[in-house]
Amino acid sequence: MSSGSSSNLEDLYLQSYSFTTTAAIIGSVDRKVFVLLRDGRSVIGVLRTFDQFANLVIHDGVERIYLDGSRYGESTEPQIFLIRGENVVMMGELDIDKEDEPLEKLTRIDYGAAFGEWKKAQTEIVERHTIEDKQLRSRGHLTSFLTDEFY
Amino acid sequence: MLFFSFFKTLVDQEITVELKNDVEIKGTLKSIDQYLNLKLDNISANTTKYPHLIAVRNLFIRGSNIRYIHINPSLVDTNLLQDASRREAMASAGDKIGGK
Repeated sequence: MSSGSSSNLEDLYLQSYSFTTTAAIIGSVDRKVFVLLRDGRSVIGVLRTFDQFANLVIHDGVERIYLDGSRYGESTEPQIFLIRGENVVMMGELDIDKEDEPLEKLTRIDYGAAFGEWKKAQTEIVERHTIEDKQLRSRGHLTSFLTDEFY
Repeated sequence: MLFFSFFKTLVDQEITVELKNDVEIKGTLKSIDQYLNLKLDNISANTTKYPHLIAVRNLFIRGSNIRYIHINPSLVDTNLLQDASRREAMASAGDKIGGK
């Protein structure tokens, strides 16, 4: 096979499965991606496999937490992540030449500290909603707590 | 499936996606699927909240997190869309009568 065989294979997939979840993601397999999760954390690693629900397997992945636009924390031990599709907000292929560019302006802090701060912010959101929900329910409104503020 | 077909006609056009957390992402629509998951190219967004978007080439957004999609009005034939939605409503009503 010629050197362009992998891209030809990709084209073939896209032609026969165009407009499916598979077609959208297949091009990113074996590439470095970032995945934003619904709880606000991101996973950065190599996408190895996926399915139609956007369940993803990330190889050599690290967790990264961005805090208030100036600091971030990153887990040190690369792991394999199997991410259930419902927790995925978005996934983007990273340009390896530029991937560290956004971090240059940010200060890296210890992952444990970043995680603690992130968890605290989440708890505050939950507590605020619990109070609001209680007040609304006491006035006869139906409420459903949405977690869209997390990411 | 009407909106799936509708979005297929918008491929290669520039759209703005508003997520349920109020973040807006602009980009060229590259692909759409039955769950209305989107794939965008040449994205631009507020990168303070998501710094990694600077280094992103293409973005897959899961449909379940999308609130709105802003489309240039000139790209939408509203009469055609209205006709199509009525036709689809008629067809599904017909299914019920026919016991399908």
